[in-house]
Amino acid sequence: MKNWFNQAVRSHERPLTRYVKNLLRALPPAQEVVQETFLKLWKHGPFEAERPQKVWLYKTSRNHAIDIIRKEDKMSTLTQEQEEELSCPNEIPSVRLEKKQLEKFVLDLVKELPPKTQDMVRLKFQEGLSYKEISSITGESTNSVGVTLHRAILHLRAAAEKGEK
Amino acid sequence: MNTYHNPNITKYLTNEMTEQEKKEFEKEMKSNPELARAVEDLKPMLQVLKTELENESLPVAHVDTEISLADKFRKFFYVLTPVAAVATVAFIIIKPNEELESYKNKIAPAAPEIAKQNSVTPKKEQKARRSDRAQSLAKKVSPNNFSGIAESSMDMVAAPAGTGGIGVAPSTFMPHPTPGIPGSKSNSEEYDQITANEFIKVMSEPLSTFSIDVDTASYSNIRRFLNRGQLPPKDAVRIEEMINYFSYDYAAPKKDKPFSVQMDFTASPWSKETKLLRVGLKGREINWQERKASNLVFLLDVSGSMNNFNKLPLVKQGLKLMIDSLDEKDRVSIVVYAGASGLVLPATKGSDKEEIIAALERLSSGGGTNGGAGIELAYAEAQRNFIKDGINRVILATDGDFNVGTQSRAALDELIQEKAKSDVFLTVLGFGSGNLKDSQMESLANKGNGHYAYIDSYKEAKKVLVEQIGGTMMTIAKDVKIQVEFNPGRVEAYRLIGYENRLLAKEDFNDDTKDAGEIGAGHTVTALYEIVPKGGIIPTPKVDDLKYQKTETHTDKEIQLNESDEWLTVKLRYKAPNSDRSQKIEFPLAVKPSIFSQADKDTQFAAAVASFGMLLRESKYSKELKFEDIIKMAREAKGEDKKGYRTEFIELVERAQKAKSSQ
Repeated sequence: MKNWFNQAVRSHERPLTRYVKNLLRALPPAQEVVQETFLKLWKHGPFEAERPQKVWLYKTSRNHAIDIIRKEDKMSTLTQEQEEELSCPNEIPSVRLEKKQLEKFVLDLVKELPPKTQDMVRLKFQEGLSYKEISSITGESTNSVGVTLHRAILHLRAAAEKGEK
Repeated sequence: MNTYHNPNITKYLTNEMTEQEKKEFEKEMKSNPELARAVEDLKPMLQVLKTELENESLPVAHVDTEISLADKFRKFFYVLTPVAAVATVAFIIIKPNEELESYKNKIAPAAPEIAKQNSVTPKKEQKARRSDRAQSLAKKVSPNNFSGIAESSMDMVAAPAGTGGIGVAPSTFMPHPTPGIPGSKSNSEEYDQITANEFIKVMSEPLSTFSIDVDTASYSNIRRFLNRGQLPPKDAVRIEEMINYFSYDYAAPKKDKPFSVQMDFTASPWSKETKLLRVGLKGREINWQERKASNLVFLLDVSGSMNNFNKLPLVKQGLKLMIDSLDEKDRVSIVVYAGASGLVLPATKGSDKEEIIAALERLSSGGGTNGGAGIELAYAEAQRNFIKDGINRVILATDGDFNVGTQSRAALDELIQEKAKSDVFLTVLGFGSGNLKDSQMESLANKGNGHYAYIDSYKEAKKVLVEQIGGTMMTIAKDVKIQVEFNPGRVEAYRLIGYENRLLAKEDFNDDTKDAGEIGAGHTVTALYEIVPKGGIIPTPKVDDLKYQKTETHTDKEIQLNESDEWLTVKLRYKAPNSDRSQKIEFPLAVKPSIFSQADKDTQFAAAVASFGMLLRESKYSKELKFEDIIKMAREAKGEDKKGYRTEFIELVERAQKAKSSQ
């Protein structure tokens, strides 16, 4: 009876906490949010498959985190409709990117992305969720998820090059 | 559309395409070299992004150890009737909106606040606090940061007390901060100023006397600050409470003895000139199942200031946890106070859990805080149900902000002192942030034959009210005093680390009317002395050498030394919980100090905790100390650490290091 639950905590707690921590920018409230999400999961009961459970965990935690952000700061961009446009180059840069150099500062660059974009980037590349799953978590269309992610990639690519110089 | 801006590139590279789309895209790449180039260009970016993000550090596990959590729930489902089970689960699902309020308290250090006028200077005779209270009250420092939103507006309603019921504070949770003022909330936490103990020359004062202290509140309070990325205010750091937060592996007391005493003598890790003495007491363990019948009165503060997720809701959660370990032989009453006070639940059997839980559930907060009336009522209730030779205890849960009625601190202290004579013991559970009156609560526990714990989380509630319920509820010795006599033939000077507000006058040691600390079942108490051996150099001596006297202060008396190899003798006095007469035991110390790395692991860990406290207090004796050293010291002394408390300590030091470097 408890196996499925322990399994869920074991495989998702830490990544989920990291994800919420990045939304709230502080660990303790993130831990509380995640704890509560798992209590809700317990109440909800087991899912039929792993993926929907994962999506549910992220969605539940994210909604809770957004409530907190809303309460704390009405101007927070994660909850805003519009987000400032990222600067994206129009042309393919002539310089090739060296992976090794990129590794050093890609995390810092991600942290500077606007909240909404950063959220999607993390869901995609950190948590390995699909466009469709991200769409179900964030309420954005899959199309819009794809466009946002691609713009983020272009922006990061340009920023990385700048940083190298 | 610009080729580079085609979102299909990312879609392709992240394997999001259907087989059909993929085929078409690959075909397009062949016909459009620029597109192929763009894909090639972005590919490494995506790969690095994925690996780097996946490798970003993960926070440690926090959710209550999985199995016990699941078990706990199952237990609730099985033990209770279905109706109660629903109620029980409901309490765990805290309202999300209130829940994280506290963490958003961004306390900025600011100008000292002038002490409240109504904190009347207490009588001088209270020697137990040698640190002059009047002075410390006047210097009370509170990290203050005003911006009038939610909690602050509530605090202001309830602030400068009149006498009547000015409790107009809302009876439900304040829903949202006032729009337009984002961010921080007011903070009016109060701490007594602590003047750290200095080195004392044995020639001028060979006796060091203090009361034991099993409080642990300061540590959990410091943890609350550090978890928010802030350094705690200096005066929130009471080193002895930090040391005593951890349990140490001291030998169990011999038969019939309430506690054992153990000493360890080693080199000081932070100074080549000095030695470190650890005195450890361990209270006899009593299995909670074998306890005597208990008469517990919960005295709960439901005033407006408790209106916050980490106050009243956490109080309820904590008490429910505790109720789980009660049964038929226990009696529980609940008294609440706000503007007015009342008996919410008359004495009820511990086995009637549903009834107790239902009463807790009904509580909501609002109104001013007439603590005095609540205390009167709670003690009256405790007396009415008094169990001879049983556990009789008032458990006060509050943020310490008393502001209506018997409001002055001295008057409250006096009231509780009076009540303590009735053989009813007191547990003070401190809750919340932003309005924490740490000084008031510690003082109450001190005067009321009790102890004080600060509950900052569900986890801490579990530690205090479930894991260590024996120590929390069962007092095995009271008025425990320690007096150390140093041998001037071997010791030049000594310094007691911490216990600043527990110091006693040397005459108080043999005076059975002088109150001191209690020790609970299984509690460990640890005191550290820094010692300068005879002829050694005293670090930063307090006074210059005398100009008109040739030698040391007291040599004109011609002290005759009794030849002895002993360094010192530790003397203890204590009373049985229901006795007014004390007994004395003595332990001399004659061994050589060991080198630090060979000292007992517990001594090493306690030394690490003391070092951390000294650094946080910016002690002048901690100049040589660095956070890295403390982390190293604690890591080496961590031992098995089954419950993870010592690991958490190391994390806190790391947090402090970070907070310090970003200052």
